[in-house]
Amino acid sequence: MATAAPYIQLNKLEVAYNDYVSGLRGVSLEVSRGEFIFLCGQTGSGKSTIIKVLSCQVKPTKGDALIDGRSLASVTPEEVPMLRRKIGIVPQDFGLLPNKKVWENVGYAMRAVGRSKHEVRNEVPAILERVNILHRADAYPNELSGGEQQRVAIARALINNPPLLLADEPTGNLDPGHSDEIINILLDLNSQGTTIVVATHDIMQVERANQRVIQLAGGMIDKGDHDDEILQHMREDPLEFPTEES
Amino acid sequence: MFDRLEFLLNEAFVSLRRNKWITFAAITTSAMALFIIGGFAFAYFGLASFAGTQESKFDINVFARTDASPEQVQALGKRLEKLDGVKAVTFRSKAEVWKAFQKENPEISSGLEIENPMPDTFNITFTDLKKAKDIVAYARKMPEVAPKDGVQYMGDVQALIEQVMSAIRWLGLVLGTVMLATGGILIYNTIRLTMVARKKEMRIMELVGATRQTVWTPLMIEGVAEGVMGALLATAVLWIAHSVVAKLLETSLSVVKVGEFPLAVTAIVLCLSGAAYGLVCSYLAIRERPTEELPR
Repeated sequence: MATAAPYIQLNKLEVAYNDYVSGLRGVSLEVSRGEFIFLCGQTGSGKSTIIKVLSCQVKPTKGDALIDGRSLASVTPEEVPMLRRKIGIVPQDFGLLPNKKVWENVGYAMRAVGRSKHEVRNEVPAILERVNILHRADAYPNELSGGEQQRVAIARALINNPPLLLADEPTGNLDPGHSDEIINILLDLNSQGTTIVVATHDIMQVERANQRVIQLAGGMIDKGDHDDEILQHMREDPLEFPTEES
Repeated sequence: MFDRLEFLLNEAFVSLRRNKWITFAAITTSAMALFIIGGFAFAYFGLASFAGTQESKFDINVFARTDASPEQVQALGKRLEKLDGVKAVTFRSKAEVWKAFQKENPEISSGLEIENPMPDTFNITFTDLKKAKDIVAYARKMPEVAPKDGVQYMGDVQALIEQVMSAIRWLGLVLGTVMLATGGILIYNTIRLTMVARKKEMRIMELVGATRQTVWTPLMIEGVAEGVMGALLATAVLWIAHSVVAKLLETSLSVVKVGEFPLAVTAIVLCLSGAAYGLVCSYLAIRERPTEELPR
């Protein structure tokens, strides 16, 4: 029986920021379409670098990364914008514009990708509704809680209705209650068919979501797939992940 | 399309509003650069035009040898006409010259009962004053031309005008270049500051998949706007300066008539130059964006 080609494929992926600092050191990974995975690991383990490679913010030094069969090493700078429209990116710092209201933040991103004002007016309410923030459409970011700000950031990532969503530490700055909300939204998007890749060290959310977990350490995959041992180590010491040697 | 243009223009003018003072500095410096270049260009072309109208004052007189035969004199006239840079050659016979001299200087010539001492004379005017020296040198070597003082040339005044024009050209070039460089650096810095101030917007644009043109165009519009605003300011200052100088020249040197200020032409030429200048400066600023901020 033929198996479907993986949606995301990393082949011995290496990223060197300079001669002394490596982001990734030979990571191989496959993610199926519609899957939800957590990339876990301590700071500097390489989880954010994977997000950056997949979103074409960083170019692989060696190896390759493929999305839907397309090698990212062969993507030219001119092709990057079109590729990014197929990927929703939720940055760690929300990246909201403080002088724009919630709906304007989403509308601004839509205008930047060429949508008309008419489209903005028609589509923004539905996008905000998807992440349950429509009731705060006229608020400024500084009037929102961390969780609400993160929901706006997710809403902005959904403007192109992407099949893939990359979230870098989406619950990193949030309390447990708001973290639950965000993960629930991501799970909900996943249930609608969106492939989700989340870089996190939030053990509670990883445990609660009960999805596939990839553990990284020192730029390499330490433990592939959902593993109780990983969770156990994360529970014991969230900043000290188990390595092959331990 | 208008919807898109509105978005890009709005982005550009948001930046202009945000960096008010640095924008003001960039506009005024560009205006100064364009004013200096424009002002010197006006002075240069004005002087060149003045020199053109004064060409008849820089004519030369070629005197034929007193012992030259009428055929030789005629041949000399034909050869002079064929020289490059000669506009017209007018012949005056020795009798005409003597008669004119007697008329102009009656106190000297009256009572003189002498033989006509004047030679046959050719008056030469030029199409190109720069060639006058060559023509003078060539005429002096002609066998039909009187060996001593055979060519009368008022070259000093012409040389002075040429020197002044050359000085204006060089001064305009040097001062204009310095001011252009300063204005360019200021526009460049303004765009760089805009990029820092709008780092967040640009990052978001890139993350959601905005094309490079969408991210760059507002910055380039900003550079062009600064160049054009500088050009408009320079045009206004030039206009005022022109009317002041014209009034001064016309009252102090009543013979000089300064032409009207070509407002439309100046505004168009300076605006196009300012726009091109702003475009180049902003393009250079955008191109030098640190690589770590680039998408790839």
